[in-house]
Amino acid sequence: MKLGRGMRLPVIEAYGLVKSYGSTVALRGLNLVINEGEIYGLLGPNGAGKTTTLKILVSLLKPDRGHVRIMGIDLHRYRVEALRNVGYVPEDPYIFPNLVVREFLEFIGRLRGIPRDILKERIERYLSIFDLQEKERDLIKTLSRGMLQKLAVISAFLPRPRVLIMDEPMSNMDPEAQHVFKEEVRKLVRNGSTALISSHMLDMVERFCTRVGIINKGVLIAEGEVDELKRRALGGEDATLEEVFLAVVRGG
Amino acid sequence: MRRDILVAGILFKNYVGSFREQRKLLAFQIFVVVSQIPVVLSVFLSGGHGGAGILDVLERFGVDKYLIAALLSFFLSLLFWIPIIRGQSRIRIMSAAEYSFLLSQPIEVDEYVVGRAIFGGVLAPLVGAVILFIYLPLPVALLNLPLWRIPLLYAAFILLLLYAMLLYYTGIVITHLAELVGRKRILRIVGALWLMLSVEVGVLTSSVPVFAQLLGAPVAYLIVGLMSRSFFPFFGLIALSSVFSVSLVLFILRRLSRGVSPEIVTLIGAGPHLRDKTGKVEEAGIVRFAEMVDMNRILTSKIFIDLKRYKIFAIYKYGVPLVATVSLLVRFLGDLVGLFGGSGDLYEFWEFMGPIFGIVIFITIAALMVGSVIDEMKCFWIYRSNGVNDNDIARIIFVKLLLVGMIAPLMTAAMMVLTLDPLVIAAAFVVVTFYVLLMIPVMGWTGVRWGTRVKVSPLSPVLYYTEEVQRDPALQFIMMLVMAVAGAFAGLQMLLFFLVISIPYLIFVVAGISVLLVVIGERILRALMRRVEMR
Repeated sequence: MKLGRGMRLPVIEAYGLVKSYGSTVALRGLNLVINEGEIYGLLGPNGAGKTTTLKILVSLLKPDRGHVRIMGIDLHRYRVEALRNVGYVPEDPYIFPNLVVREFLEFIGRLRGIPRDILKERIERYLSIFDLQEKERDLIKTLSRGMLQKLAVISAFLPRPRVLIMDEPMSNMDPEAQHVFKEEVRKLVRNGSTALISSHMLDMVERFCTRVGIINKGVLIAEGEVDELKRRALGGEDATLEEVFLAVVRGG
Repeated sequence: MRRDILVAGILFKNYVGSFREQRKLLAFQIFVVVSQIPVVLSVFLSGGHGGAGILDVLERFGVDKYLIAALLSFFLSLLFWIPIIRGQSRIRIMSAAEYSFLLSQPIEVDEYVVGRAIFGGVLAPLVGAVILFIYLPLPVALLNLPLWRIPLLYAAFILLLLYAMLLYYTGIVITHLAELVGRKRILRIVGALWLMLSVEVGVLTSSVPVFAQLLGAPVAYLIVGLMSRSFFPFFGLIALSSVFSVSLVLFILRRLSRGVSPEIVTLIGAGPHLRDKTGKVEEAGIVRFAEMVDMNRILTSKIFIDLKRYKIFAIYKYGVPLVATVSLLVRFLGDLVGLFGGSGDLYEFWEFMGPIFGIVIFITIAALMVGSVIDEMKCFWIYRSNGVNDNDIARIIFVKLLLVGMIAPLMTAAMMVLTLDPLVIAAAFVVVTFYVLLMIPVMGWTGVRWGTRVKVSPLSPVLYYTEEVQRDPALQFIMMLVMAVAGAFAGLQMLLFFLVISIPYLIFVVAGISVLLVVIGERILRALMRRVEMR
């Protein structure tokens, strides 16, 4: 694909996604395109379809209609190949309770084919920066929710994926871990990765994400850089993202 | 009393209401009832095969209905004393909704305590005790009792469960009150003395002393009486006194609960609860996935380490040989005292009971099987988002189910060692294996279906069998499904067992079909994996 100067390759492409749970329609023809090197914040009220969207992007749910491409690879037809580029953090991570922390990370590393020496080095580093070194021999079922969250995030970072898809990745994390998380995401993005983050932490999204999308009732109702959204929604850049969010969601 | 029942009703709705709304409850209740028909029918059609034999043998050992009733009375009484001896002064609950919502309402603590005891007594038959409900008519068939005993047995059994729950709660409340006045230690000593005296006097007199069985006697004698060929003297009085005892304990519990503090109720945080029991794994016990290259080995090692830490392999290593050794010892001692020489009754009975034990063992293990799949499915996001092939996931889940399920045939075969008949031992093993393989797709489907829906909580599958089942309507649904299907196949298994015994070469046919079932089971799991969606 030839791109013009300054244009970026689309990394996540979702077109016309429709998903229903019985009589409840979660997504109504959602389109989402996220380009290389972006930290994209996906916002929306409860039940708007954020988690459903993210689950479809990692093939945990199948859309009733529409299709998804990750790094240009059709997710439905070449799922395994497409997902080799992805690191995923679910909303409420449940991790093999009977493995110890190190075993789990080694397990993930080997599933992703990370060479042994690099894997060991990365595990040491992530356990250290997320302050989990002392827990490396602990059974996962004994970890607190915050620690589980850190572990899920480490497992997503471990293969240094081209695409990070994360659902509320900082929930239950202490402030220091949140800081480390943001620094690591920035570092990965600088090295060519792209991040899609779903969150309710508007302050964080405002300062951290390069582009924001607001989803409501299963469709993307607003999208753009934070300042651009402020201008479009409230006519000025003095407003906060919270005000923009409320104006957009309430305004339909 | 009305408010107690109201509290019980709210609790009941909190736990089972949501799946009642799915309109599946009624269908499943009917299914559960229908599913027991093959089991009961096969026993009835056999004309009480083996039942008389066991009675004769038991009587030879001096075990009659009086002793059985006395022992049951003792165990029921023990339910009252257990919290006292253990110093358990708290009612532990797992539902955060129950703890934070219900307890913050204007409800008196005594209303809550009594309501919860009633709720426990009502819920128990719906969950774990369904197994007993399925097999409750068996004594009627074995002893050729009139059929009208069956509904009476059900009623008595419900009374027994309610009474057991009331006794247990009364024990907790008394311990709590003792703690409030700083007399808990003295109370524990009293409890320990009761237990010691009960055992000592029991051993010395070869009977269960009256003071040891006092609390449980009315209901215990009612149940045993209904299961006996002839009633106890004054059986009408026993029936009346059992109803009176339940009412009396209910009244006492209500009065005692007025003095307790709301702190009697504590919420079990699943995490901390487990954190107390577990810790670090020794360096030597850690699996080095980083050193592995082959994907098959990586995935299989993960399953093996999982089962090892659930102590599944300990059952293979110690449980099965232990049961086989005990069976051999019983046989040896039985031969010494002439138990098996003159009469083939016990042998016949054992031959008959073997497959039933197999089913009961399997149902117990089934919870573990489903739980192990649920655990894998809750972690399905790890496999899928890391690009693991669906067929590989299906294979490891099949291996996991097989390794857990094979405990049932091995245990059954180990028990059948008693017969010293290679054909009977082999038949038990092959037939129960067949049964396990037949059930694997059912277990797999159930685990997959609900593992992707059940709300995430960091609990081990072992707990699904206890508090977690009571807490989660979806798991109750699973348990009912498992029991219903297991019951439905049980009759088939028993018929197959007798068929194999009478036509021995059939053992090879069943073994052959079992191999086919392995292939079919894995294919079904593969198809299931392709359709998995994590909601």
